[in-house]
Amino acid sequence: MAQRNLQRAKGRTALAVLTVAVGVLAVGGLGVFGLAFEENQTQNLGDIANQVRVEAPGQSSFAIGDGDPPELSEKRLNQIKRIAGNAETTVIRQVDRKRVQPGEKMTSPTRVLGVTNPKATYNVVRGEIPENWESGVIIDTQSATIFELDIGDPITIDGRLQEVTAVVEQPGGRFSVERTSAAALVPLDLVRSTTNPYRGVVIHAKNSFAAGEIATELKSELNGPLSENEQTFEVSSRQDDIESIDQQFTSTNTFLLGVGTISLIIAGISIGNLQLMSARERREEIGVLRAVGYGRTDILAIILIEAVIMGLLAAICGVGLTVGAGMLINNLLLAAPLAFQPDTVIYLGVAFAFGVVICVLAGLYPAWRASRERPVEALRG
Amino acid sequence: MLLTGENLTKRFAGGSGTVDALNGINVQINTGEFVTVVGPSGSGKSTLLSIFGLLDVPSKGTVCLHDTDIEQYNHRERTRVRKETIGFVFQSYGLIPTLTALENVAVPRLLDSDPAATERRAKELLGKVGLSNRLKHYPDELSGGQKQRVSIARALVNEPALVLADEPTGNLDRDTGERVFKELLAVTGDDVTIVAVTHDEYLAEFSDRVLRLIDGRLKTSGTDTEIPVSEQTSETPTDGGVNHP
Repeated sequence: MAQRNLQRAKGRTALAVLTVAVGVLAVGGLGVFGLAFEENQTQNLGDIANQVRVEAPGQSSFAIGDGDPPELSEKRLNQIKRIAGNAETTVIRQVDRKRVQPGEKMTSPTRVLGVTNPKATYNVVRGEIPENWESGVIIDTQSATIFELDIGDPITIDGRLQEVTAVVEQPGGRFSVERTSAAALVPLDLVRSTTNPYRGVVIHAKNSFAAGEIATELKSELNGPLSENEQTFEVSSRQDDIESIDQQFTSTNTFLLGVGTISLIIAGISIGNLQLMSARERREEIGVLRAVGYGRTDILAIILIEAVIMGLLAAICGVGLTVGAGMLINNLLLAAPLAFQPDTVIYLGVAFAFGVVICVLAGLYPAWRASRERPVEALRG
Repeated sequence: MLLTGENLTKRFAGGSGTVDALNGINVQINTGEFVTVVGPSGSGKSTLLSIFGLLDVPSKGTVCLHDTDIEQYNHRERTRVRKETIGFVFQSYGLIPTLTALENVAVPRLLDSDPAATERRAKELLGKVGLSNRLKHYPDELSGGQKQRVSIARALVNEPALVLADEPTGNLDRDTGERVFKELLAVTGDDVTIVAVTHDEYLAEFSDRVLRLIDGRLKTSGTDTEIPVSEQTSETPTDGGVNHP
């Protein structure tokens, strides 16, 4: 009966449903657009946005300050690993440069870096980094050119004969902690440093926001007020960029949420108005129903079911529109219409539920009013 | 006795003061009786019918249905009693335009647990009123007489003890009205009581007894406005339907 009632004023019902569908689109669009925007920004920044670098003071020529710089000790390394949590890390230890005697011809890199998990941080150009990184040497393209070395060539490190297993790209940034600068990379445990246990750590967070959080915590723990050293650990991430994105993201979300809420409130008023008009027009019918044995709750249920049907229709249409709009947004921001983010389903679900709930809420008053009417008065029309 | 009303008064408060739509009515209606209530517009006919139909309550006086004072019933119980005991026929038919003739007849039992039984009963009743070939027609596809016959079938779907008809022929021409009226009598069983409000004196002649209402009062015995149409027997009430010794 509720369904037939809605069908009798098709145009009016369709318009009311459309209004709610637009509201659902606004709320759903908030999520889908936000996710696509976030993904777009992440893609724009690339992997670097997910990385956090920690470098012990005094490692670069730009280090300033008096006294002995604090070293990146085993204790601090554990502290860093704890904060990094499940994120992949590459720990780097720099060994003293081998002194080259005057007239001596350099046939292999004079600098050595001990590293863990090089796969996470270095891009292999040739060869392969073994899964079990316990032996072998990695050289960068610069070393390969200078010393005319290639995969399989023997190289002596600390008196031990090793074999070149991979050639990697020189990491970007002349002062980055993982810089190779024509150094040879060997497993961390194979080398000892006399000056500083570790040069630094590269942390690969799962996304830019997690990277930002890790960086903040590291700064607080390593360089916080309890730190007695004037020289500080350098913790670098693209946090400023991330914060800027986050701010843009929050502003966009707030704006869309505002639009969505206003839109849904208007839609709710529209549904409420429609239901009131409909109940008013059907006053005599409601009177007849009451006369032939329908109770107040039956009348309430009929009108509420109408609201639920409208809500479901609107929510389905709204979600359909949201998916369509999402494809457009994905195409614009990510160049792939179907590149929906995993959380899209949650936003669609929330928008769907919102559409139905707003219709039910809007239908409550008209339903209650119609159900409370005395049958004898309703029958007078 | 199916229905009794004692000292029934219904007072409405309006902008120009209070109006007594009913003023001390005493009436008794027996099981199986066909009673018409006649009177000019505003005489209180429909108000009396509403009170008998448990749609309204009197301002004063008591109504007993099956020897139970209806004042004892709360809203829910009144609804239940209306559903189980009373069938309504309205002047404007009261059909739901979005439902077919069959569905309209089934409306009072739509929420019941046995839809198949309801459909059987609705089809049977529509057959009795000669609308077997109009089951799937919507009200706007039916003539006035056909609509009223659907309305009669709906009134009987719950096998009521009492059928209340408010101007059932009011929207019909004389011939159609007469046919519908006769059908109403034909399809209701002998044990079903009918109280019909009409201002058509001609149709009142079909009833067992006529109650004349003027200005909210039943005309008393001995006046030319009180006509027990059926054969006046010793059982026939003589004072507005109230038996006097």
